[in-house]
Amino acid sequence: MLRYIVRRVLGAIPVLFGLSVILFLFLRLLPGNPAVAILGQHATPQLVAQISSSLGLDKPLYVQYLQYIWQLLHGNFGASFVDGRTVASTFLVRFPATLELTTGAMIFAVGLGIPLGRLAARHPNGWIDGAVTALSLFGISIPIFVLGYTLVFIFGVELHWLPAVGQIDPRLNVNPVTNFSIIDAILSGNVNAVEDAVAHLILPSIALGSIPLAIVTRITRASVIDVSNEDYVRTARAKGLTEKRVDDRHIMRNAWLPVTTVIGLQVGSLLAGAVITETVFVWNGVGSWVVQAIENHDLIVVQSLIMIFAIIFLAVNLLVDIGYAFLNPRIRYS
Amino acid sequence: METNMQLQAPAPGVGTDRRAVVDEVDLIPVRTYWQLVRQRFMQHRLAVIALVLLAVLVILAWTIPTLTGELYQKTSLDLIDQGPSLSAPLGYDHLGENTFVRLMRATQTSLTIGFAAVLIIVGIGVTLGSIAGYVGGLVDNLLMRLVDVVLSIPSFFFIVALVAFWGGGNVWVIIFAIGLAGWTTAARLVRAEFLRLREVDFVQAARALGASPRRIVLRHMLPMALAPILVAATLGIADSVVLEAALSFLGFGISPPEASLGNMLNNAQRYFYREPILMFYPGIMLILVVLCASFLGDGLRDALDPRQRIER
Repeated sequence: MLRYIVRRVLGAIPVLFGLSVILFLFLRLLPGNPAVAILGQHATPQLVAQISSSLGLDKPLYVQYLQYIWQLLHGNFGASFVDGRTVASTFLVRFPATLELTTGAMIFAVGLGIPLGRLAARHPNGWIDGAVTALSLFGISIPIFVLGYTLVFIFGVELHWLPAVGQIDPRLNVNPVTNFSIIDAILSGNVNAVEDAVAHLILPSIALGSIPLAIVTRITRASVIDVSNEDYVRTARAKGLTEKRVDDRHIMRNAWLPVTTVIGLQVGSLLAGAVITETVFVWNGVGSWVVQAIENHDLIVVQSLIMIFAIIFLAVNLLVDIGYAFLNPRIRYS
Repeated sequence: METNMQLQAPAPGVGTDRRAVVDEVDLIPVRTYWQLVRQRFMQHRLAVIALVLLAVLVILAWTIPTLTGELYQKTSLDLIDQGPSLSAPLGYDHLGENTFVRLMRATQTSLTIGFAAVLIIVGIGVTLGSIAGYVGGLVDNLLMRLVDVVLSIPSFFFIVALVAFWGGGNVWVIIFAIGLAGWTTAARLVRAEFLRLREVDFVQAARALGASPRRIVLRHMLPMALAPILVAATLGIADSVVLEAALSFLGFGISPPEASLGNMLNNAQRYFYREPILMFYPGIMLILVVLCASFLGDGLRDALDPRQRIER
C-alpha cells in the first residue's frame, strides 16, 4: 500500500512540472508588459524599467522561470498587483467560503444521489427509474447560473423561504475567526447565526451540486444494476440472506468503487462551477476572486490560483485513487 | 458459402434440409453498415426527436437573423418592455430590442461557437491521439503526460483567462480557447482505439502489403475510430455551448450589442428582479440545446457501435 502511494505521489511531480512550464509561458506570452499593467499607461520609461527589473523581467526567460520555480517551491506564490497582499494570505481568507460551498454541494449530491440511484436500480426501467433518469438528465443539462437564478427567484424572492444571496446576515455581527461562516457562527454561540449560515448555504449548494448529483445518481444506478447481476449476489440470495444484508454487504460494497472515482472526478468541475455559483450568490470565495483578478488583469494572482487549483485537483484525485486502492485490493498490485 | 457447406461432414438429415437452410439465409436482405446504423438510430426515439428539434433550431437560428438583418440589435425607446405581438412573439426587453429575434441571433452565435469549437477539439484530439496510438512508445508516453497536464489545469479558469487577456470578446479567441482546453477526451478516445486497432488483422495485413503509415492511418484505422469520435463531438457541442454561455454570463465572452445565449443571460441577470422572464428564454434555449445534443450523442453511440452501449 505504501509503495502504491509513493508511486502515485511521484507520478504527480512531472505533471506539476509540465503545468508550471505551461503557466509560466502563458503568462509571459501575454501581450503587454506587466510593469505597464501595474503602473498604468502614462508611467515614465525609467519607472517602467525600474519595476521591470525589480520583478526580474529584464533577465533571460530561463532565469525567470528558475526564479519562479524557486519561489514556488518555497510556497511563495507572489503578491497581487492590485492590493499588494500576498496570494497566500488572501487565499486563506477566501478559500473557506469556497470549501464550505463545495462541501455543501458534495453533501447534497452524494447524500441524495446515492439513495436515488439505489432506488432507481431496484426496479430497472420502472416508473421510478424513469423519473430518476429524467431528473438526472435535467440536472446535467441545466446550467448552474440558470438553476441558481431560478432557485433565487422561487425560494428567495417569491416565497421568502431562504436568503437569496450572501453567506451570513451581516446584522448578526458574527466575528470572522476561521472564515467558515458556519464554524464562525457556532463559535459565536448564537443559535440564530448558525441557522442563518446554514440557510445561506442551501440554495448555492443545490445550484452547484446539481450536476454532480445527476452524475452520482446515474453512476450509482448503473453500478448497482451491474453488481446485482453478479453470481455472488444470486448466491447470497439463494442462501437465504435478508434483502437488507444482500444490499449492504454484497451489492453496495462493490458498487461503491465506480461511485468513489466519479466523486473524485467531480472536484475539477466543482471548482469551475464555484466561480459561477459564487458570482450568482454573491459569495466572497476564491471563485469570485478569480473573476475579479481576471477583470483587473492581476496576472500573478491568476497564475497562482490556477496553479493552486491544479494542485488541489491532483491531490484530491490522488486521495481518491488511494481510497480506491484501499477499497479494492486488486488495484494495489497492478 | 456453398463450398463451405460441402466441406462439412454431412450429418444425418442435413442432406435433405440443406437447400432450405441456404434459402433462409438468402432471404435476409443484405444491409450495409450504414443501413444498420440508420435502423438502430431510428429505434432510439428520443434521439430522433432530438435530431429533428436540433434541425428546427438550426434552421430558425440561421433564417430569422438572416431575414431580419440588424433588427436583433436595434433598440427603440417606444417599444421598451412592450408585450408580445405578431412581429415580436416574446415581446421587447428593457432596451426595446425584439426578444425573439435577439434569441434567434443568440442561438446562432452560440451554436456557431459550439460547432467551431468542436471542430478544433476533434482536430487536435484526433491528430495527437492517432499519433500517440499509432507511434506508441516514447511519443505516446510524452503525449499522454501532456494530456495529464492539460487535464489538471482548471480548464474553465484557463479559458476565462485566455479570453479575457487576449480576446476581449473576440469570437475566434473564444472558439480557440474552448478548443484548446477541451481536446483531451477526444485524444484519449482516439489513442485507445488506435492502440487496439494496431494489432488487428486487417491493419497488420495492410502493413504487410507495404501500405504507407499515412495510408494505414487514414484509410484503415481512422474510419474504424469514427464512431467514438462522432459521439464525443456531439457531446462536445453541448459542453462548448455551455462554456460560451458561462463565459459571456461572467462578462468575458461575447458582449452586446452582439447577442449570445450567455450575454442574454448576463443582461437578464441585471434586470432579474424587475423582469425575471428575460432569464427564462435564453435559459430554456440553452437547456434545449444541451438536452438535444446529449440525446443525439446517446442515440449515435447506440447506433454506431452497439458494443459501446454503457450507462453514463
